[in-house]
Amino acid sequence: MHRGDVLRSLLLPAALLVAGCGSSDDAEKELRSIASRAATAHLVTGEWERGAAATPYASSTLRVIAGNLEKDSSSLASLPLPARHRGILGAHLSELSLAVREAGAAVSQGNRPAARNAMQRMDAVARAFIPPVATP
Amino acid sequence: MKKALQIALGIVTSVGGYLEIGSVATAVQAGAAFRFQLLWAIALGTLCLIFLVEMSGRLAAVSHHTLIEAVRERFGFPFFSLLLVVVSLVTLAVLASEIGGVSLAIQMATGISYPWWAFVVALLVWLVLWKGTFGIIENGVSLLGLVTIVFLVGAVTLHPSWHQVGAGFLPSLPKDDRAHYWFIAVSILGACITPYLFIFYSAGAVEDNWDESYLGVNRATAALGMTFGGLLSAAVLIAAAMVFPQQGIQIDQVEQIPLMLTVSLGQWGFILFVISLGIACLGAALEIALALAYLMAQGFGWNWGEDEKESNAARFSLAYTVAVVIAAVPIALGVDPLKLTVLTMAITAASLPFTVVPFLFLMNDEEYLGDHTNGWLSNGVVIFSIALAFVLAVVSIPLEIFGS
Repeated sequence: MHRGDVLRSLLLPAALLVAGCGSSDDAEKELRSIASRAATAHLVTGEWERGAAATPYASSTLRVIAGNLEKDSSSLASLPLPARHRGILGAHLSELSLAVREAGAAVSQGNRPAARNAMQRMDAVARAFIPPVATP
Repeated sequence: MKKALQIALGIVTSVGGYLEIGSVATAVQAGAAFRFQLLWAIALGTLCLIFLVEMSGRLAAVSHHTLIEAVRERFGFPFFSLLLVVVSLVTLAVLASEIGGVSLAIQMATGISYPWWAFVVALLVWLVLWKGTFGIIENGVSLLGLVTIVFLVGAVTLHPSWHQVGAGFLPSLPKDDRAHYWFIAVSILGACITPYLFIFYSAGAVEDNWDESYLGVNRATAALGMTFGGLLSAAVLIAAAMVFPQQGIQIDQVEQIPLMLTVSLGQWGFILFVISLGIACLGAALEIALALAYLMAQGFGWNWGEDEKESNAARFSLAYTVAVVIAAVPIALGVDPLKLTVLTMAITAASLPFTVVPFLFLMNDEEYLGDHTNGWLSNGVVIFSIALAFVLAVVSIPLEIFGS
């Protein structure tokens, strides 16, 4: 999956969600920001895997992103979204945050297969994000 | 030959002074959010800066007064006091951002969080100021700053469409997010036209004993140095525009920024980015801390000079010492350097009238400039800069609220 696809796969359901719940700037901004964090985590891990980014940088950046994603969970809870949609988004956000944290741990340990696996999980979360929300 | 060397060193110094965390952060945000559409803001800011820096140097070379001494003498203590308060507060915030920039560079290299490095960086800045000479600060750190050319290499190797890049120099509005667009435009202008540059440059000219024979050096240094600095800033914007929008990345933390070079230059892109950020911000922190000490010392009539023994200019040395310590505090407390930088650049834009308006009076005063007063072109640019400064002062705070 192309790194940009992570964003698109998050943005599509986000757009549907926002459109479906009476459009909210705050919701759109929040979802766009989560998508950006996911794309950054994916890019950092990928750059580390190909040897372009140093380990201390990649692991600390992934740690910060995971922390920010966890903070996003609480801001997501305050968004004016239907409870079902909020629940779905929250579950995927938790998975995403976990995958980013695992990517950070894999980077710290120099474990490339685990980092690749975490990247795949980030992609999977993004893919799984689409159907339940896109279905009316 | 000596003059040619001075021009070369002057250009290098100008590059070192131009590129710092403010210009990097605002250019990256502009590129990531609006691709090439804000290149015009860098060009406009650079053009104003060339003229204003040239005037600061000309004033010093002809009158042997620094900008601050001339302002204090020409406009009196009440105006100087106002300028002192506004410029000190803004410049302290910029100094904090630069200390944050060096701390972040060390964080990227070591993985240890930037707040832990704030006072270590402050100590390093203070040690260089205490032990070093003006020549070391002006030329040594700036020579190291040439590593920032990596941004130019990074931008070119990403193969941007030069047609689109060229179109970015013509102002155009985006379809959405206009408040954010204008906020970043104002921040870019604030990052370009920073008051500390004029203060540092004119004080440097006096420290280097410039006279009228240096007017050519001054003109070449201001024009070529600031153009080269602006070019590097544009390169940062172009590289960001080539990498982040297609990845869907918004810039909300400094740690994202090295990625614009790793994508095209791999591991060397990362290493050179970290070195560039560290050196550019260290150079800027040294210049800003000195500028704050110059501001105080020249305004209050204390002994001043980086080459003076500390015992001969005790209050001057105390001023940069206190400034460095105060500026390290917010970073040590964990204030986000990127947010602080972007906010600071907008506030700098709001403070511009205080520093730009005096140019119009001083540069047309024959008592200071003799036969070297401003011509119609320089006056035109000063009047335009004053108008721009007032517009920025009015719009920057509302844009900070609605567009940041």
